[in-house]
Amino acid sequence: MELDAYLKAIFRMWYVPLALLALAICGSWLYLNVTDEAEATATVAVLEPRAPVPGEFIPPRLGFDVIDESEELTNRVASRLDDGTTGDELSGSISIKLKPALNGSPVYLVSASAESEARAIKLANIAVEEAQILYGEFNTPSLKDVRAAFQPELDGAEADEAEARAALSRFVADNDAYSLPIRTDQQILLISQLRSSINTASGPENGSGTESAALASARSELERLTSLGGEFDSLSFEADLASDAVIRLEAQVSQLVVSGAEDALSAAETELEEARSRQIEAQAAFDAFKDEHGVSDLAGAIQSQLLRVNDLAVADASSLEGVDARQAALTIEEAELQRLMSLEPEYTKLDSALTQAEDLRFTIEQQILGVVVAQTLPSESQVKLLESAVAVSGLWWTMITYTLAVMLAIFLSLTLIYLLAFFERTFPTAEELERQLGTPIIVRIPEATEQGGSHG
Amino acid sequence: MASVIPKLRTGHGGLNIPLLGRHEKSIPLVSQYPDTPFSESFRLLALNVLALTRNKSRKSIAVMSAFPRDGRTTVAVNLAVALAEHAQVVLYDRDEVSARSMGRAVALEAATGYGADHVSRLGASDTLREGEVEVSAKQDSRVWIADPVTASRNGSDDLEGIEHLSNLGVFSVFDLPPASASANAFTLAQKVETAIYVIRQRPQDMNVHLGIREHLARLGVDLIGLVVNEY
Repeated sequence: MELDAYLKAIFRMWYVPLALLALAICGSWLYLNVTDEAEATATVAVLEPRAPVPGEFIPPRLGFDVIDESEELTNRVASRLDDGTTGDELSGSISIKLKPALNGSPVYLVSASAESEARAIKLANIAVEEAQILYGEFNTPSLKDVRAAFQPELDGAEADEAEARAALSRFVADNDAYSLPIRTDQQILLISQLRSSINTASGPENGSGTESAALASARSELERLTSLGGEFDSLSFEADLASDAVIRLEAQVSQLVVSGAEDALSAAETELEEARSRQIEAQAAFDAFKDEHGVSDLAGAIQSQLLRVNDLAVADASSLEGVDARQAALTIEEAELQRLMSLEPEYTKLDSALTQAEDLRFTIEQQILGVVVAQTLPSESQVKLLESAVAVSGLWWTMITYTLAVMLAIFLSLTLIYLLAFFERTFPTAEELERQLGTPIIVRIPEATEQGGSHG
Repeated sequence: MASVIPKLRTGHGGLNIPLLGRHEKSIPLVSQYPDTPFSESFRLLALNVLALTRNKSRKSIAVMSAFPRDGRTTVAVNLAVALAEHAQVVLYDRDEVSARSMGRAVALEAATGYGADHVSRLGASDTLREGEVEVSAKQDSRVWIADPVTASRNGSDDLEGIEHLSNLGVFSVFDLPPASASANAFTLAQKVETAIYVIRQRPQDMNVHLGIREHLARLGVDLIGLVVNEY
């Protein structure tokens, strides 16, 4: 269609845009009156985790603006209102949107709409507080989840530790090698003392060479104590481990109490209870073992017993008459030292393996608790309220609505006029008729009526 | 001036001939609306037609239009009556019923040579049929009405008949069938040579008119003007 014809059609159908404009304005007015709600908006900044250094893992987090997708938020706000409002009634009236910003910490707008301005402000402020708490809860790792994530690694470490412990215990039992380093040191000391006694001895051999009853008893006690070593260490380790777990969980619970993350706190408290039970059981088993065998500090007891054996052995040797007898006693002890020293490499190796396995397990346990505790920062420290809720002026929205309606009406009317003009069959004007048919109009016959006569 | 179109009746007292067609609405006649814009427009049309055909040897005009109910017969009849103020007129009406009925009603001597059965003369106080024709308003008006189809069959040369009438000072007005429905319209228009084109003022497809205009130009018909029917 030619522009000229289109413009003429617009001029001819002036009532179309007029009608559509009237309709749009009436519709907008009706819409704004029907949906007339006050709105309030609070501004909140959320601290983002720092950028991780290469190789460092920072667990993903839920954004603050997804909190409004949770029914829990509206339910909690409704509960806080305590006026019979339900969460469903608040659905759609609370929204959290990211405020566009080029840089810096993300800023969110927490908006609430209600029938009155005061209620909208109240809703928005409550929504901010509840959203802060929810944000902390959503982004708090669950201890169970973390433990489950680390479980394969933990199981492996425990298996390695058990194997190393069993190997060392087996070695110690087979070779009478408990507290091998201490015993070796004591044996070296004993031999040194025996050598001194030989140097001070004089005359030929004149002794039976039989050890005294006291020395035999001391040796027997030492043997009993060393035989307890494996189980003693195992029970002691279990008790220490359970105790460490309790200490860490207590720290975590304290942290969660501060942060207000109720779900995570509940889970941590359950874990703590279980850890305390395990600690009590382990400690009871350890105490029972110590009571049963009359040892409270096995390492100290063994060391003390070694000293006693050494003293008795030196005394026995000193009581022998003659160099030969003392030499014979020295030879026995040297043989024992030789045996102990020959065991030392394997003992050291096995002991080192056990220590490594224990360290690994301990490290994993630390890591589990570290992940849980380190990520559970109080929500207040992550979500900062920049501006409490204030009422939002509806003028802008009103203008936008009317502007859009008017623009839409204009667009639709122009389109409608174009379509009407395109399909319209009109009678052309006299000029167009003459131009198109190339013939002049010689007369126009009006309607035959009685009126319009020219009498007179 | 006389009203020349009868009001047809059927049944008792009727014409006792087949009814081939009728106007849904009676044709307004200038005699019914004297001294109104309606009658004045036809007087103006008659003057224009006389002026535009002054230099033509053949005093004849074909009234054409594209569609039925464009007001072609109204224009033709009223033009004939308006022309009758200036000359004797023969109206060739396509409506065979009216032509024959009028022909039977008033048999005149055939000055045209077409025979009394097909040519009629309306005089000052002539009555076509009892009770159906208005009294002539102008004493000296004379209008003949003839069936153009019949007219075209009479005589050895159609042009000769029209020229003969012209020589006698008689103006011929042809009411042709709708051009979009009958090729006879073009046949007759070509014989008449001069035409006016009636267009009713209503939304319509101008391409039809443009097509008819092209045909007329191709056939050598001189379209001297447009008559816009505004009622």
